Order: sequence, then structure tokens, then C-alpha cells
Amino acid sequence: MLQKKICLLGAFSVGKTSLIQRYVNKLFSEKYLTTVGVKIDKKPIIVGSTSLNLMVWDIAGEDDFTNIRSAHLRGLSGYIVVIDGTRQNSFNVALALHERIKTELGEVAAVFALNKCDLKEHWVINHEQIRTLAQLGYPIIETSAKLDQGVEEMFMGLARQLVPENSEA
Amino acid sequence: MLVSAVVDSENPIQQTSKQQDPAAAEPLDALEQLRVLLLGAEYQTLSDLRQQLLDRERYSLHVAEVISEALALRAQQDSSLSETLSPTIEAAVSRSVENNPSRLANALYPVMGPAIRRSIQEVLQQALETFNYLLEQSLSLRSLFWRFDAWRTGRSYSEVVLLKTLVYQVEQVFLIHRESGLLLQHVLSPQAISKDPELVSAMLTAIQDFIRDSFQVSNDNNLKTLQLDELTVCFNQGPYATVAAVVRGRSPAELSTLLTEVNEQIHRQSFYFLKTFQGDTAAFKSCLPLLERCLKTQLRSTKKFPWLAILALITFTGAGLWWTYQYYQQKLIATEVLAALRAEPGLVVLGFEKTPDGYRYEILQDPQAREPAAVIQSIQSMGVALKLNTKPYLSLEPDFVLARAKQVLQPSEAVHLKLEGKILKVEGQASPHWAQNLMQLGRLIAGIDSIDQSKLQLVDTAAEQTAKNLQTLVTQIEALSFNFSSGSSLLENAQAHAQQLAVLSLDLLKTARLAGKMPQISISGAADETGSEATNGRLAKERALAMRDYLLEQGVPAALIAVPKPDAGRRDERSIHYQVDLF
Repeated sequence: MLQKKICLLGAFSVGKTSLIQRYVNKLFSEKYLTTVGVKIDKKPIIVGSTSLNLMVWDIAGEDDFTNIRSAHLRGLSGYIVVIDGTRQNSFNVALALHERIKTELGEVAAVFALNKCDLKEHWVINHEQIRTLAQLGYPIIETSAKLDQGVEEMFMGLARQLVPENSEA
Repeated sequence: MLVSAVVDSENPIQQTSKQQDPAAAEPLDALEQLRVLLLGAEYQTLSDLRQQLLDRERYSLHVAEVISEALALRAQQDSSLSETLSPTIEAAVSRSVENNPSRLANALYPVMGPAIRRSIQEVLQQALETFNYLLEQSLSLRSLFWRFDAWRTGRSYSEVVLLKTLVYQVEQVFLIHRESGLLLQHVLSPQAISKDPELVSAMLTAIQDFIRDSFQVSNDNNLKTLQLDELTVCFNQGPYATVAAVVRGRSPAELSTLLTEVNEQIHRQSFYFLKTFQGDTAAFKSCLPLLERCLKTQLRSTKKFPWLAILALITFTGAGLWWTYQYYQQKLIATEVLAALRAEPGLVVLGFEKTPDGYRYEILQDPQAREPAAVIQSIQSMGVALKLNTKPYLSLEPDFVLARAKQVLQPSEAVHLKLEGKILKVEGQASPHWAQNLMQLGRLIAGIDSIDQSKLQLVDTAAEQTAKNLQTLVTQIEALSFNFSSGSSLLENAQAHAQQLAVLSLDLLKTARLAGKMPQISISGAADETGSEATNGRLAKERALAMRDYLLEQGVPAALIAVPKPDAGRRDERSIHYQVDLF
């Protein structure tokens, strides 16, 4: 059984916690998120022939008031950057976070989630921006925690990058 | 100059140098020549080195010089050497055991003994303590109180006992990858409950990071303990892994040292895996025994003397000894009885077995032998039930044959019986009647084939005695007389006389018959000189007749009394006399 630490990152209130709630069996309640700044959940999945235990770290949203603690990022195998399609700021924060991790940890597996796709008519992120994102070379998945759309694909998209090629047969 | 340098060497270049010799078979290859020209002596050195690598023996010699240092160097760098070598060493050891087990056994002998002894001692000590603990828990007043407490508070009894008796217990130990917070290994004490250790492991790491970040401490300062009421989490941070122990109760000081030691050892043992950890925890299974060392429990007053267990042990041992003593005592008695019965003549022990009640003996008994019960009477039975089943048989032992002969033949004191082989020798004196009996019965006695009576003297003692008795009776009767009054033939006071005669005469008749004779008593009367001869003759006859009649009246058989005749011999007596004749 492989274990991997992954993080969900993104601006404040982009829906990270809701996405995880859709996906995992949770043990710790949300209060940890505000006290310690992190909430951790576990999701066992199978990729190909490999059993994988995803330890999902839900890290408090980054804004002007809270800074993501570098300590929480240590040892991560991959991360998901969540963008709120309805908020322009979340896109900028996502890019900044991605840059920061690249600087701190080097190249690691990543997925970009464009959340709140149920409110697509209110989206302010345009195609140009999405293309910029796509040029980074990581999967981009449209998700909706509310409608349970793309959540599984988002995690699997990351998990597939975490498992060595030869064991994914 | 270059060329001359290579001419001296013994390597292949030597041949190439022969190009100056017009007789050389092959011209020097142009490339080779160029090499020689360019590299000169160095080319020879390189060739030499290549030769060394190709020559197995020379290469081995070189490696042998540095192999120890190389191994030592690599062992200092990481643990890969032990990993690489361990399968080889394991295979070598098992091969050695297969080939010659005694060699390894001899080498291990000095350490095996003490280790085994210590292990046994510890197991026994532990067993004694557990036994004592169980006895105490099930018997004491305190345990009843605790049971009541458990019932009252709705908790399990074991939980109450744990709370009341625990000083501390290490419930869980986590081995956590320091960087990622992923759980490498986890051990749990049997009574403890664990919630998703992977999450706890990550959360503990997050909390540590949170505290470190929040209070601006340097990276070297780590969280040592987390405490909540009676629960403590102790941490030991290593460069790559953290050991966290969850302790219920008062956390002991020595635990911290223990965690440090264990963590250090884990780092030594799995350094490579820790350093290159990519999420696969299988490599850390070998750390489990180390982590289990930390699962310690200390109960209150566990070191008190286990008197209950000792008492129980003494009782069991005492009972065991008593039973053994009884068993051997019984066996001893049974054997003694067997020996006594076997030694007794006339008894044959056919079988002997132990029954649930005691012992049973199957015995053959000659009628002449002592009763088996009497034989073993002198042996103290000590409550052992001894059952003697006897069946009759005839012993052919000389003593018993002789005793049987004596019982059947009833010999007199004058007869002496002796057994020689199967011949009964009869000596002494015996009556013909007994001798006749001897010939009839003697042959029927088991164990006697023939009878030798050549030394037996036949004496008819009975006939002699009868004749003697007869003579006495005759004398007694003939001595009797009865006196009459003068000139009278009347019997006066004759009753006593008659009765005496009646008794004697009946005796006489019986004795005479034994001797095969018929007696006759003649009565002769007599008269005095006073009357006439005729009168006297008549008187004498009357007197004899009177007595005869009277005697007949008194029951004397008539056949015995003969016709009376006058007694001419007695002239001056007024009496009658008797004369006995035997025919």
C-alpha cells in the first residue's frame, strides 16, 4: 500500500473543503481548519493495480490575512490548485501558489480545478486565461462540489501522476 | 627511443616491435604503431592494467588488498551493505547448518544457554505474576468493589481495573515520516482503541508544524509532549522520522530515553529507506519489534510478594507430593503382599493387577495351605484394598503330598509315613485293618504312585485287648457269689447282686462277640452239711434256679445262662457260684 500526501490549495472560499467533503471519509471536523490551519482526510483509491492511500491536506485559503505555512507543504507528492471560476482573484492566487510551490519544492504532480462549474454563466475566467493555465502542462478539470461533477476525475487525475508508470498496467 | 622501450616489455607490443626484424611474420598494424608512437610507455602501462583486469588471478589479488577497507567505508556511508550481504549471509548460515550443524551449534553454545535460561526465567516469573494477579482479581474484596463500580458506572470491568491499577500504559506508538507526516508503522497495545492512525499521524505532524510556525521557534526545537488530562503524547524527532507514543497515566521519565534509543536504532537500521521514502511503507515492517518495545505498562504495586500464587503453588505441590507418596506406598505394599503370597508354600499367584479400588490377586490354594488372608495379616495394609480371589488346587510338593496322606490315612502314632519321590514308605506297627485301608486309599492320593509297606509290622492289637478284657470279665463274674439263709432258696436282697451280674454279663456277651466267641454262664448252687444229701442236692439246685429266674427277670439274656448243675466242690456253703465257658 502506497501512501501519498497531497494538498488542496487555493484562495479563500474557492470550495476546497467542499470538494474534499464530496470525496473522502472524513474523521476530523472542520474546526481544525480554523485552529491549526489544516484539515486532513484520507482516501484510499486504486490506480491500475496499485492501492494508494491519499492523505488529503486541506490547507486554509490564502488571502491577505492568512499565509499558507510552508511546513504544511513539506513532503507533499502532489497538489490540487482550486480556482473559483466566478472570482478573478482566485485565478491570480492560484498562479502565485503554483509558482511558489515550484520554487520551494521543484516539479511535483499537480492538477488545476476550475470549481463552481454549476455557476458557469457567472464565470469571470475567460478562455485566454484557461489557455495560459493549460500551457503550464498540468491537467485542468472543471468541477462542481455542489453537483458532484469532476471531483473523482480531479483526484484521479492527480493520483495517476503519483503512481509509477510501470505499475499502472 | 620509444620503440626500444617497448622492445623490452613482454606485452603484445613486443611483437609489434619486431617490425624492425625483416623476419617478422606480421607487419605492425598502422594504428598500433600510431598508438605506440603517441603513448609510448603509458601505452604499456595501460595494456598492463587491462591485462590485470582480464587475468582473474591478478585482479583478485588486487581486490583482496582493498576489500576490507572498501567494505568498512561503504558501511559507514549507508546501510546498503548489510542489505546486500544479508541474503548471502543467511544462505551461507543455512548452508553451514545443512552441511555440519554441530559446528554452528558449538559456536552458539556459549550464548544459547544463558539466553534460554533467561528467557525461561522471565516467562516463569511472568506466569507467576499473572497467576497471582488473576487470583487476586477474582478473590479479593477489592475486585468485588470494582465489579460493583463497573456495574454502577456502566463501564467494562477490565476498564475499571485498568484505571484503578494503572500507573501508566503506552497505548500506541507511531512511526511517522517527518517530512510528509505519512505513517510508516503503528503499534497498538491490546487494550487500546485506535482511530485511523494514518490521519492521527498526519494531524500530529500538522500540529507540530503549526506550533513551530506559530511561535517562531527554530527548526531544531521540537514539540516534546502534548498533554491532555491523563493522556500524554511524547515525541522523539529524528532527522527523517518521528516516534510518537501515546501514554495513558503518568508518563515515566525513562520513556523519553527509550523513544530516543528506538528512533536512533530505526534510523540506523532503515536509513536508506527513510531517506528515499516515496510512500511505500512495506520496508518499515522490520521496525515493528522496536516499536513494540515501547508498548510498556506499569501497574500499581506490581512488585509485591505473590503470596497467593505461592500459597496455591505450595498447596498444589504438597498435594502432588502426598499423592505420589501414597501411590508409592501402595505400590510397595502391593509388592510386599505379592512377595509374601509367592513365598508361601501351597499358594500359587496366577495374576496381579491394579483395580480402581486397590489390588486384586488371583491365587491357587492347596487345601493344606494356610489361608492367604492369614499369610498377609502381618503386612500393614494402610487402607489399601487387597482382594484375594482363591481357587482350589492340589500341590504336588512333597510336604503337601505327605500332609494329604496323613489326613486321608489317619495313621496311629506307631506308624511313620515318609515320601521318597512318588513312593509312600510306611514304617512301624499297624493293625491289619489299617493296613487294608492303606492299600485301598493310598493309591488314590494325588502325588503317590506306589506304597512301600515292607517295613510295616502288622499287629492286631484290638484282638489282644478283647481277649484280655474277656478274661477280666470272666474272672470278675466267676468271683461273684450269693449267700442264702440256712435251708432256704429264697433270694433276699439280691437286687444289687443281680444288677451287677446283669451288667457284667451283657459286657461279657459284647466282648466275646468281638473275639468271635459265644459265652455261657453256668450257675452252680451249694448247701451246707446240715441237711441230707438229697435235700442238700435239691436245695442247691433250687438256689441255682431261683437265681437263674431272677437274673432272667433282671434282663440277662436267656441264651447266656446255662442249665444249672450242683456244685460238688463246695460243701459247707449256702451259696451259688458262676462258671463261665466260652465256645
